[in-house]
Amino acid sequence: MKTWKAAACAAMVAAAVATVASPRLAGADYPEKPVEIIVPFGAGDALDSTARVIAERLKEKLGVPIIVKNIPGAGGGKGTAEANKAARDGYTLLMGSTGALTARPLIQDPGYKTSDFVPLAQLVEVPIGLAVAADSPYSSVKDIVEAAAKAPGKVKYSTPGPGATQHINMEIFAKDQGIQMPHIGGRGGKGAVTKALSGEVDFVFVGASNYTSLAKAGKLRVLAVAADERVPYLPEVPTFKEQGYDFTVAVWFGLLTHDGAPQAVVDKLRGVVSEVANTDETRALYKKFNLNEAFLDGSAFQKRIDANVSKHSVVLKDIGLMK
Amino acid sequence: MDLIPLDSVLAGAAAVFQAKVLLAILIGVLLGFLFGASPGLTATTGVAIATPLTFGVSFEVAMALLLGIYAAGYFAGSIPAILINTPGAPGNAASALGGYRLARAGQADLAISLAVVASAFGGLLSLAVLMLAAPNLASFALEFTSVEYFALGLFGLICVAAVSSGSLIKGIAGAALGMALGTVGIDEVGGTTRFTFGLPELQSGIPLIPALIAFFAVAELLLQAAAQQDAADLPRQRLHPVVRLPGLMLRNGWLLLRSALTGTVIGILPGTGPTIAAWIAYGQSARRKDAAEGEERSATRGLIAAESANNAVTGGALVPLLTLGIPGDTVTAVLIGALLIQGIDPGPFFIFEHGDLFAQILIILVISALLILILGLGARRVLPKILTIPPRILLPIVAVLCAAGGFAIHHAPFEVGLIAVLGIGGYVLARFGFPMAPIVIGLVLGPIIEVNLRNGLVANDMDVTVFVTRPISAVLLAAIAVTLVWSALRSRRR
Repeated sequence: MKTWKAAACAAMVAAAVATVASPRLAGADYPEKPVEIIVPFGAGDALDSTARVIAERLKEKLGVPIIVKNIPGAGGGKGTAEANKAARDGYTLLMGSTGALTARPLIQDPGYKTSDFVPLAQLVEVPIGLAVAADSPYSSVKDIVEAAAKAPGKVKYSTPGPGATQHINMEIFAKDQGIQMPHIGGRGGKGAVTKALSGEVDFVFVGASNYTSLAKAGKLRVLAVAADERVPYLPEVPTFKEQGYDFTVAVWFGLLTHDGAPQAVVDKLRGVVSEVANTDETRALYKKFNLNEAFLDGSAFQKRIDANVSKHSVVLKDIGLMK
Repeated sequence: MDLIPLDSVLAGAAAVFQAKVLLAILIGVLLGFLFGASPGLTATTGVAIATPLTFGVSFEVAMALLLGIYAAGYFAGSIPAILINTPGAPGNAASALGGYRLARAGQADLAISLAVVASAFGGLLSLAVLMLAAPNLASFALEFTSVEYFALGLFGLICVAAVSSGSLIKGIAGAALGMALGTVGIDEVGGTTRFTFGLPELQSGIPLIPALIAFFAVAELLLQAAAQQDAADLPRQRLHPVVRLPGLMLRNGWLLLRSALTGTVIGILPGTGPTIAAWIAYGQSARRKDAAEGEERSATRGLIAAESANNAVTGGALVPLLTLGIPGDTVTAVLIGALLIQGIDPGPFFIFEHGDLFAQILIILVISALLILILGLGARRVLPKILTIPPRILLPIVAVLCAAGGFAIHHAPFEVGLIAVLGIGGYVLARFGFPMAPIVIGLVLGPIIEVNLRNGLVANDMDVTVFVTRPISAVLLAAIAVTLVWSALRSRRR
């Protein structure tokens, strides 16, 4: 018994010494241990799919396990705050999305700032579409705008939740059109779609990948997509622009790490992520998930984030959501 | 409606009955046992972790692995619930009430057998429903708007408050306390932060798994430690021959069937899952005669009801997934990703276009249910040995397990601290005779009740009469009134 205890003690001391003594200088040997990707939404979400697609490829390139950790809650705020608490060594990556990263810190103090993270690459975009149930009286965006103008508060809609990019942008649209529409959160994209199908709301405004098969089966009619061009898997659906409304909403997903990680690590990660994102295998997987590939390198992604923050700080004040 | 054509079934069977697919089911079921039985890990976590492993394999192997985890994961949490009053997953919390009571009375063998058989029955019945009526039931799911979810949530809460031990008033007070705890975090409707006291960890509310561990396991640990009971004081574990099981099940046939149907229906409804199903079935299992029948009998009925219902969620939750592309619970939400990677976008066309794949899913789930039966009954002799460990050794081990379970959630110390705080609070409440179950169910259902009440009012122009003019909601509210009157009379008679 005594020898056993002594051996255990020795092992613990050795482990402690090894941990303290291991060099962590400038990240020259990065990575030396598993890398974690924090996904601030639930498993099965489009953001989670993107992370898992990339994680599989990153594992091969970096030669260490990549752990995808889902920390859902507070519209992405909880997981992002968790990523902000991790050590600034580049071993914790964040799968960032528009709302959590560039809108939520303006609405309240979620435990992080947009500038706490340094972008590695933007990976994909998800086009947002407006859909109604098959038996809905509305057949164009104009119908909806007119109905809402005639009877304020009558036309209701659903998005994944209050403060989501979809919600903020639909509020902007309503304000531009001078109409007022009550919003009901759907606890996620699929939940929002359910609310339109059950007739609880008049339309749903969520990522088009949430209802492609319902649209094909005729259970839902997609009236418009808020993109510059039509979406490849919904070719017959016109854009808002085609219907005379200058309205585009882009929800992007990208990989970031902590601001303050060694520059050498950031550079290495940027290189590897760019390499794995731009392969045919990755593109094929994106396609299966109905994700639009939209690669931007670190600096281009940073510009886009900055542009989003300045736009959000104006509109959130306008619609009364800014803290 | 059409049944699946026979050639689809044959094609599906041919695909499933291959060595590698059967092996994948077995591995899935074993992983499901592991994830389900470990406090802090759930079937959802297991399926999420296993999904990327299926990127490179065929449809049948992928489904075999994932559905095996799904079915076994929902069952396995009942084992620690029965043996150490620590539900492995939220869906098995109701099983802890009856099951742990049986185990303390020397009937752990019986309790595990009941849980195994009831789970397998619930799983199989829900599959029959999925097979026969999936397209018709999909439209039923769409009858439920916020108004109906509000009424259902309230019904579940009242059921549990009314049947738990102790007085009705304390049950309702516990439920109200749970609902108050449920208001912590970002308000889902308005987006404002409530009662977080500046802690970012509380933004998404008091997490369910730590609360479960605290109110069930930690509170019980402290009670036992205070009682200074020794293992020698516990009755010897009795063995229960398998041959007596069918008779026992037959005597509870109606309960088994009713609970499985309850679980299936709740599985079909998007956004509800095994936790709510088990509690409602548990609540309904109580009968007027219970007081006369004795504790053991009511514990048996409660355990059968809870386990039958929570496993019946599996078949139910697949109904909206495979017919509308909308997940019925959290595991099916993860399964969407696994189906997409196989090039299948689940939706209204799935059963029609991919009859053979639908048949494969059904066959895989049937095999999983049978494996749970075999492995579960096989293990029931060994597992109750845990109860012969003296409390002075067992209790610290369970305490460490509780802490580890809390840590496993986010690999962060916050949840461990939360478990300690809530556990001590739970102990104090238990000493004053408050039942733990309504507190936990209040925490689960409180946000559902609140959000759906507010959404229901917004969607109906703030008209409160919708709660009684919409038929499903009216029926549920009437059932709540009946339950309250019945349990008030019952507690007066006591």
